[in-house]
Amino acid sequence: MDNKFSENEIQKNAKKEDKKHILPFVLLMIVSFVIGGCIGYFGFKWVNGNIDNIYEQLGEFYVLIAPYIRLVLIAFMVIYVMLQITNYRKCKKEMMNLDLENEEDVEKFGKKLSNGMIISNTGFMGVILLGGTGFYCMPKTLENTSEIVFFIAWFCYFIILIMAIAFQNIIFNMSKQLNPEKNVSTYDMKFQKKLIENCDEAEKYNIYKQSYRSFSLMNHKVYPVVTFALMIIGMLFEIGMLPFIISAMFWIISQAAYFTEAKNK
Amino acid sequence: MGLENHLKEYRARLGVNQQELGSMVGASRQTISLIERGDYSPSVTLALKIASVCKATVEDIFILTEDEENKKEEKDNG
Repeated sequence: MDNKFSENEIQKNAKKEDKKHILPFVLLMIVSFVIGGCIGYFGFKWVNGNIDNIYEQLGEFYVLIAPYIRLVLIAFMVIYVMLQITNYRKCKKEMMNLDLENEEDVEKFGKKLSNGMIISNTGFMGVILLGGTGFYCMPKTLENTSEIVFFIAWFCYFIILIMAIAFQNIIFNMSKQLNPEKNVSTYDMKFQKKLIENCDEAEKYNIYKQSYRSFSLMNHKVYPVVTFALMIIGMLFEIGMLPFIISAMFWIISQAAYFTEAKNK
Repeated sequence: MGLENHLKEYRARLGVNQQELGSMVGASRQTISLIERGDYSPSVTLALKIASVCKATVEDIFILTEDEENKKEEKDNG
């Protein structure tokens, strides 16, 4: 009985699976970047001609944060990289000494992997949020920050984006030590579908349970509170009704999706 | 009613680890671990597959136990 994982075989299979799917994935990223870049560039050109209108709509909030948004992005990159690399090293060390028969070892390793996923997802969502905010603040930030900061911030944006995607793949491949039958690649466009198909009854049960808990939290607590709060804030601070409408729309769509699925089953 | 099991003992008799037993019955290592810890009750299909591989009956490996509340109720009624 061999309780230690056979690292080479599992890693070989993981690399083979990744190689199959990485080229279409990278091509999709490049196309998305080009399209997004064009939209951003022409959008920025339009904003430049209509800057006063834009700032009336955005409100004082953006004018306040505009000078600092790039510095926040740079600081975010430093923190994200430190956390991700530290977690990766801990996971790697844990993986080298892993005894699959020792429940405590397996649980500890699993928790570290989950933390790694949380860090990379937070990095990804955080950089999208900061990047998007930075885009809206661009006219003001160009007045208030140097060109060097501008380029460093863009560099940080891409570093976090690439690292977050790469580490999701690295961490998922590490988790294959616990579940080698999950021979799918995160670069595969059908990753979610294939992962679920690869799951057995207990894993599907856990996924569905977690999904329902997440749905329940969002629909019974988060959406009602956020929607109501945005309605009040919209009236008091003149941010307009759009945030409230968007939140209400997502709430309605989430409910509709759930009940449509329930009806179909 | 709870469900206890002697899966770990039967697995030890077979001389396989959780990963190997999982492959034999079409389940993951994680599922075998959950079953052994009593954190998951397998479906009828999976229980039958496990029993077949262990060369035992389902009742040998999985045992229904009355929980404490039911026992108290029976005592009070009886």
